[in-house]
Amino acid sequence: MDFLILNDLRKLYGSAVAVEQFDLRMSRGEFVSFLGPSGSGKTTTMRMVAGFENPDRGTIVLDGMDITNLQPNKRKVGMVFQSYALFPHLTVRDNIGFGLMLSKMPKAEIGKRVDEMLGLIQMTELGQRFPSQLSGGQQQRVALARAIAPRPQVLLLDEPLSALDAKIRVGLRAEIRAIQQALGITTIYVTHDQEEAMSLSDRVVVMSHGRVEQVGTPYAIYNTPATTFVAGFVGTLNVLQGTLTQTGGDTLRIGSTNVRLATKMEGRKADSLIKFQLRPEAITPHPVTDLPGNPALNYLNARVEGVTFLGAVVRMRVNVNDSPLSVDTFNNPRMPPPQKGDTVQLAFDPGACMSVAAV
Amino acid sequence: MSSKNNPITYWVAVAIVTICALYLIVPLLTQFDFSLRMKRDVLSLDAYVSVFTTKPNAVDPPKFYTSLLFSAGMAVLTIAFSLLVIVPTTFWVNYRLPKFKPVMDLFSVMPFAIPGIVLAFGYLRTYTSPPLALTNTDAGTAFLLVGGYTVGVMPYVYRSVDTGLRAIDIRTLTEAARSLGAGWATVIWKVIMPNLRAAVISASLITFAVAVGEYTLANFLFPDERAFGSYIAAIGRNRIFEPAALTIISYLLVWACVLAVQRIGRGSTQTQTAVIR
Repeated sequence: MDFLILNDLRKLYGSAVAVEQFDLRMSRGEFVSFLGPSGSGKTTTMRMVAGFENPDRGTIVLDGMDITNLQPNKRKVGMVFQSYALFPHLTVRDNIGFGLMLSKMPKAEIGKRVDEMLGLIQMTELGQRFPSQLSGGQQQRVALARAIAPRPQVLLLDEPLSALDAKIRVGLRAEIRAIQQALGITTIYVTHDQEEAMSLSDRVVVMSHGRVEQVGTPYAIYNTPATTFVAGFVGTLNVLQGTLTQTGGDTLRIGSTNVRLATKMEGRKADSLIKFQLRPEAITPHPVTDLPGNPALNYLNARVEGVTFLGAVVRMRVNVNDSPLSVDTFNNPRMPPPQKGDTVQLAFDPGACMSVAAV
Repeated sequence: MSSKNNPITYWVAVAIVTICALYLIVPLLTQFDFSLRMKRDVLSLDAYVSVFTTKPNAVDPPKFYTSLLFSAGMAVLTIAFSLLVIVPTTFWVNYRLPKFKPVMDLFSVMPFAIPGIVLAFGYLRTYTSPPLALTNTDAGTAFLLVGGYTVGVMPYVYRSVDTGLRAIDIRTLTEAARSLGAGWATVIWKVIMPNLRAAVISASLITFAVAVGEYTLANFLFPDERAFGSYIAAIGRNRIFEPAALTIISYLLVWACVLAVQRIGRGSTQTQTAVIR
């Protein structure tokens, strides 16, 4: 059964559309990320769920109850902010206990719950510190504990890791997911960082210009993007073009090489220009001395224009028929990466080719 | 070389601070010296004794205490009333109606353009006859006085509170508190006010100092020299050394207030942080 239903939400600021036709149904305990660039409407949508913005149209139903017009303090929705928003005049303990105090919980129980939360965020020793005495990561952990202490029905996280440095961000990301799964709390996470969204979420809502582009699992979003925007925004995409060798066929000619696609180009005439897209990791570079070994794969010759060694991954910039491509391959200690100026063979599966027309 | 290490800059700064300090301290010292010379050729506290003990008649307490108590009471009510009105208003303008900020800024300095005597006559004309005959009772007149003081101190209180609010992220703090279940009153009382401690202290101090020594409104609304300002003026007309003693006492009172308010402010923060153990 759907636990949180966002039905046909619309929000305007003057004549500017911030959110339009937003529909989402979440089950209890699900972790959904709103992913999109700035101005895509993801934060506005979250703020409508929190009650800080009133939708101009549509309804929000939480556990069977219409909360569209309910005040934020009556919604039982916890929120974590990008800027932590800890109360500077209160200690860590008092910050975590703030929501519990407002719910008129007996003091002894508040103390117990605060202890439990401090244990959960592994900050038992720091309860008497003030926010100004904590690092950014610690402050955000306290903000998370404060938000979940009153046992909200939904947890909202508004770019909670944006203000932290990369290493802490990755660590805290794992902590957030672990805590969310341990508590089984229904969570909405707003981010513009695709890696964050993909690594944390059960499902991702990709948004652009106030509209939902696609809702799906990270796997589906990445591998079968529903729109060109999703394909371009999630991950890196290479665009290649070639001419169709025969009407309605599945083979393109790029330079002097034929490339097979997974599907036939129905309705397209011979010699028409066809674009298709490839993920960098779907391409495997081989030395040109290797003969094309697998007839099921496509092979293209490319000139290496740059190599970036990233440790586990080697990223290459190559050129195929005047089209720049990005190629990612795992580091192989027994085979050093090619040098700038080398010629390589790029192998890829026809199934990895995503047609621009299709997306 | 930074200005901190530049000896010329340093000594210029010292000179400026010294001149400013002397400008403030020298009149106080001469006033204090004068207040001790009630007895010819002898330094004595007679002027102070006179202030503390002179009674209008054999039955009533010395007027110094009654007038001071009255004005202090009015000042405290003014602090409470002005904070009650100005803090939520300024908060709301900053949080929800930032477009009205310029209007509020302009409105807040209007009391500077209205002389106290105009306000006093305006009050007397408006509130002496029905249906708003507030001056018929002491409580009604006191209400008018507090209202007048609130208007008079508005520029200081508004500026102080506004500066305090701009120093904190009220939007996020408010939303954090709201998402945790706080109503508006809780947001202002438990989240915003504690973070405005310094602003509220300074606003309260200015309000107290202005209200305790105010003369025009107090004298027109309470012509029986009930207020401290009226009392000082009356003493000034009839005595020589006592007004100097009163001035020194007033300064000491204000400074005592500063220390007390700071102590109370610090104490309240410590109490708050000790809630959850």
